[in-house]
Amino acid sequence: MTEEVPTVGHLLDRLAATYPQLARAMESEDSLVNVAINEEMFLEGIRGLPLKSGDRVELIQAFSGG
Amino acid sequence: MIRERVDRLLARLATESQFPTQGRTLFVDLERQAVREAYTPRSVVEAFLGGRGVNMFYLANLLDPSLHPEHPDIPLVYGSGIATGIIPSASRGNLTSWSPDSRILMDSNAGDYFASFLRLNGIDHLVLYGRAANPTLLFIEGGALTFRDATPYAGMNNVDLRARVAQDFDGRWGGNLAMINIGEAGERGVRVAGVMTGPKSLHARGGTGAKMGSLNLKAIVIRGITKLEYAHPESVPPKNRDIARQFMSTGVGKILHERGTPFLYKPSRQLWAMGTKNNQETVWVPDLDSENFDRFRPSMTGCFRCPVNCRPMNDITSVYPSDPELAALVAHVDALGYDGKRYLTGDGPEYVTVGKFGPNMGVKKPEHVIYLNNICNDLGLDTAGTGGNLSWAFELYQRGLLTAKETGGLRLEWGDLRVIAELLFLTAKREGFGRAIAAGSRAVDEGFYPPGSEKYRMAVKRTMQSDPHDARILKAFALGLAVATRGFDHLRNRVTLEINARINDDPAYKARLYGGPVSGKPNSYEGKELAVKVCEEVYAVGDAVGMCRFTTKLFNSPSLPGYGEFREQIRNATGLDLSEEHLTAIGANIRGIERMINATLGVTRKDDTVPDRWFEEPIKGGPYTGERVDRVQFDAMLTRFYDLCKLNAEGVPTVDWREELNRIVFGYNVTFPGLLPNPRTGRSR
Repeated sequence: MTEEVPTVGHLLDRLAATYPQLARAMESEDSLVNVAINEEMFLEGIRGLPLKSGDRVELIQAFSGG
Repeated sequence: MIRERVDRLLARLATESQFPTQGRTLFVDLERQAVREAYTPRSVVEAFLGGRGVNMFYLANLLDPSLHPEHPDIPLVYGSGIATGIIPSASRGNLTSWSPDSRILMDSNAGDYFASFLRLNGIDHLVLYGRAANPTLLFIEGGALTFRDATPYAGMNNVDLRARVAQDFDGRWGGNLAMINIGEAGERGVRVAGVMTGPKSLHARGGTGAKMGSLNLKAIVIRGITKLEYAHPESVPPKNRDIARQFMSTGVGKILHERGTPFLYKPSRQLWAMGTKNNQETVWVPDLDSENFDRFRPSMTGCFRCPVNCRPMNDITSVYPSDPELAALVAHVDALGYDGKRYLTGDGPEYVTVGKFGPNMGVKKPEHVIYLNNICNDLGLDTAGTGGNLSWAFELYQRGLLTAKETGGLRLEWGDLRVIAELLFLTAKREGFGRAIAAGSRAVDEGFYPPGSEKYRMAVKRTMQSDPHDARILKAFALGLAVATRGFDHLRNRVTLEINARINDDPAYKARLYGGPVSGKPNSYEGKELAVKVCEEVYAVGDAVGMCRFTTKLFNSPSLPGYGEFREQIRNATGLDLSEEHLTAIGANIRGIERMINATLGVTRKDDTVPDRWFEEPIKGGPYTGERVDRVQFDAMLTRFYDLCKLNAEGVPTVDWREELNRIVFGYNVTFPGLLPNPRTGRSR
């Protein structure tokens, strides 16, 4: 991102505006997308997580077990 | 003794099929080479459904706790699910007995082709007992079972055995042949040996291979299948198409189809919940993320009529001999007297193996994990049990509790590929220090390790953890692992959706999913007992149906087939009209009978716990730094779980429910005013 996004929520909204298909996928009942910031995955309160310049954000599958 | 028990049980079984598609139960006396047959009574099917559930009915009736697990009078029970071979992805069967390793309930679910082939030969269950005079192979064709001399196959491992059997029986794997078998590890009673169901799939946990070996049974081979007659034949195919579409459209179905289970590595790693070096640490290298296995995965394969095809094949010849560590490893295996290049191609690995032979052993490269995986598949070693016992030994060595003197000169240093590989071969042969690994839970009792070593054994109920996920953070995972009826195991009840942030951030949705409030905080203890209960029940029913866990509702997706789909297709195939509430009750019944069997074997509340390390040592980094399991809060959560599941203070069904289960299972009930002393320990309960 080249514009400031202070939280993960802002980032997701920005991504959703650019990629509507991604937004639909993330909102579906079967959405299995988690957020990892700088190689650390978070499991709750996702939208409020703060971001700073230079953070690396990954959307990764939320799976466990196996 | 077993024969008297079988006589009494047969008198209570049905002599005719109870519903369309029901197969027979064969009682196979290996010592006398005799077979008797009957059908499971309808009342038992209505209480336990099939597969794992009905296996418990047979085991409970035939188990003599005054013996020991390897005694030939302790039966080994195989059961296909009620819809195995009927519903797509329902290709599973369970192997059940008294575990030689954990000395509690042994029950192991696996797929590939055998379970479906058995059911499509008109056989639902096999009850195997007595020790054969010579190595024996059972051959089934057209529904008839015959005894064959397996002496020519004795000592053979999986790769050679499969090639030889296909040739001798003029068949083709994945075509008209299916088999379960043991390798030399099972023949020698190695307690981490499994029963193979294919080139990679095996019945893991509890030493199933050692139990099969104790009967001198090398393999069961099935050639050909027949067609089942459904109650409503016109309804089965369209419903099957719906079910396949349903699970193939989920996110988990898609990624399984693409990469198989190794995709599970990255989420655990990024959470700092990846068991590393015997769970001393919880994070490891990104090199083992599933995308790094892509170049070694030439194709995918799968179980009988399963469209998911989640099993990755492997081929690491592209980095041999350019990878110097791999080249040295192959040379070392050659020097040990084996064909080192044989293990450059194979089947797998699953995520469990990536975890147990990657971070858990200090191994960093995909090709090295793949190579060790291929050795285990050939030797018939359960990678969870073997990996767990290896990492235990390596930590003991790290701490100086073991030295090169005890290990026969082997230096057990993390990541030493040659030592790990050598130990696999020694374990399968029960030679040198491999005898300690082969001893499994009894390594201290049998004098291989000094007293006090148990402190570092990452086990519950003497069973090594099944999966690599370190559950200090997610309390629902910890509770599930603690209460699983076959020991430290995630596949009985894991609340996988605890790892889903979208669900955690939507309390109303989460409450609908589990039928009540469950905290959205993954490290909270609140409400987790409800989620574990709900998962445990639907997974037990899934096993009784024969469904794969990865295509059963709540295992990584709320959109997978569950009670509704099971109900409809059971009705279409069998004519049995079981409501969703009835199926839920069956899930609870399976928990109840398994806990009653375990109580007979001495399991009490104190065994429903997690290793001390998870209570005492906090997570050292990541988003949940400092997290551990609190003993007081864990104990309170356990009490709530017992109350919710109608279990008494020791974790067995309450008196009323126990009486009800007794009448179904044993045909009678006698109630004493207090609990009698445990027959094995003599202690009061």
